[in-house]
Amino acid sequence: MPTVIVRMRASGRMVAGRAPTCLGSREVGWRLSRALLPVTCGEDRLLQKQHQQPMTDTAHPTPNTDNRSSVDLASPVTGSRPPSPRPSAGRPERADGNAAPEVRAVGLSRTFITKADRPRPALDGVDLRVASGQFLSVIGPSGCGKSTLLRLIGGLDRPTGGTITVGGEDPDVVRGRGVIGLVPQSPALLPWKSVSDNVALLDRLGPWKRRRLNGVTVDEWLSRVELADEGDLLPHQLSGGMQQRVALARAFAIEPSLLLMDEPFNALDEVTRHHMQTLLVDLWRLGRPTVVFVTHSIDEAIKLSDRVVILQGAPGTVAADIPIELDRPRESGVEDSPAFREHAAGIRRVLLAGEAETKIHEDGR
Amino acid sequence: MIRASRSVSRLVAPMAAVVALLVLWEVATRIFAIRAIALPRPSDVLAAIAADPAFFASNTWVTLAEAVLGLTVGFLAAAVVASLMAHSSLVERLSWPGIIILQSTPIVVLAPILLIWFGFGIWPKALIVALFVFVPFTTNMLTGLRSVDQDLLNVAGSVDASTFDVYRRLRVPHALADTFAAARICVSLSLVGAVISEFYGGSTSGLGYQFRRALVSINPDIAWACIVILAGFGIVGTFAVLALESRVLHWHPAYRRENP
Repeated sequence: MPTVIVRMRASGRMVAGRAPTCLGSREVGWRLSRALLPVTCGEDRLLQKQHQQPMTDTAHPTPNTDNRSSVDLASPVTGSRPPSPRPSAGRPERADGNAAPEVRAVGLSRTFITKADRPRPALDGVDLRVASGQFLSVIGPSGCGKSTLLRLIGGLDRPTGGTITVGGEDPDVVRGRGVIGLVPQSPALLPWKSVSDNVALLDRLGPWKRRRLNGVTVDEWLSRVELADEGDLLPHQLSGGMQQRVALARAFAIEPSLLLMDEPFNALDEVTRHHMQTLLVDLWRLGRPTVVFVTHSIDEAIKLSDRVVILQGAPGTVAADIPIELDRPRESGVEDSPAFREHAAGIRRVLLAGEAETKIHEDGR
Repeated sequence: MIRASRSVSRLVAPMAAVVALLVLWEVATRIFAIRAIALPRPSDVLAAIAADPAFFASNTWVTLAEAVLGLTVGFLAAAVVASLMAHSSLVERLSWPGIIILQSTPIVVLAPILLIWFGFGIWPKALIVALFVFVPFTTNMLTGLRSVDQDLLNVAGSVDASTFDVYRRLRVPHALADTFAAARICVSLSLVGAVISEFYGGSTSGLGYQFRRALVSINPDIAWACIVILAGFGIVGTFAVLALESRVLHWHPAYRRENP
């Protein structure tokens, strides 16, 4: 079993798993590997080459966000597999000319002030990089700041420390362009508006008032989420799964270049959830936005993602960063494949180890 | 068929209740031989109305006009104040003391003052009514404007929806339910306010004014006729609000029909 080495923040703090023997050499190794092997195989590296600036700020390397440097966690055997070409090789042309942005967080922190004037840190020094068009899942226990991270990426909240950029820009600026899609935990539909009007809602809100959606395009989106006949109904006449599909269509209808999802399938039953996951991946491949997907479910994270980031502790920090090297499309039986189970076991190990550490930490207080 | 009988029962049942109350009242006054000064028979009261319908119609019109005008002014003022309070904590902090003062002041004491300020027309009375309904409207609207689902606000925020769009498309429709809850109370409250405002100097007409005059001149039939008419309009007004509410809020959990 590979040693679990998890690097946290630029300061080089180590956590979890088996104790690393030598951090320094590993870090040097990472830099070397980056320098010597600029692009090898695998789609994500390809994407990075095409859409990312070469990393220049050596002061703040973010090794844990790089596939190569990240924890060698139960990684499945990939050498024998050819690089998996996705059907949509190359970036699809976006109507608005907005390429899917790279999301980059360096030392990102957010501390809230409680009513008793006490600081309550939610995130502490999170380094994260989501490549353009990548599907990233953030997994972690409740209260580790997953939702806070999502709000910071979406420009709905400001960090108290560190920096966060979306495509090199302030998230607030990107937000103003109306290219960030958000799917919250609840469907959050307008109960007084028809399903069609709900899908078109975000097109009608906002300063830019794009009004790109008309009756025909709204119907198109409805049929994509298999609600072609439900357009005239009110949300309360739909099941929970159908409501969440409307929320998906609403987010995708603005053709986001960045999609943020906060445990959107939490309230759904297993079968509906499975259906929604398939639908989500299909919609994602249509426009290939960068996705940050927050979830509690290990299986869901592995099944959907190119990469899984484990957020841990209170305040939350990045505990591990795991590339998921499973071919797409991932069929419904993929959960039972050895590679998938190995990933799941690895993530579970980190989560449990983190929990143990937190406990020890709390006991020590 | 089911729907027809439902709408019939919705109209007929309350009317039957009113008729039953009148019958009970009539029977009670006869059995216990209650003197007319204490409680006149409903038959006598109705006869008094029938004797001079023009008199009651003109006075009812005066009182209704005061109530409707006051209700409108109070509603509009509350809508403006609640909207400002919902968007600015400074405005909210500045407003609460005033609202609490308004709520704890017996508004009738303001009647003579308003009379001095606004003269003898409809306005001082309408303003009394407006003050009566202002606080319930404001507090309920504020609750409604504030209690929009946070997930929904985040979704709107993710596309940088303007404050005005969020107000117009999210907050106002959401606040309708609370506004109607306030309106149900305020309709009858507006009649009470109008009658009370007529008790004070300067009035020469209106159901409240005639009620007082009839009491002083020991004319219980007319006094009670005023009460019956006011009660009738209170019921009609409240039911009208309920009907409108069920139509406007058809999407609301309280009014949903699963198979429209």
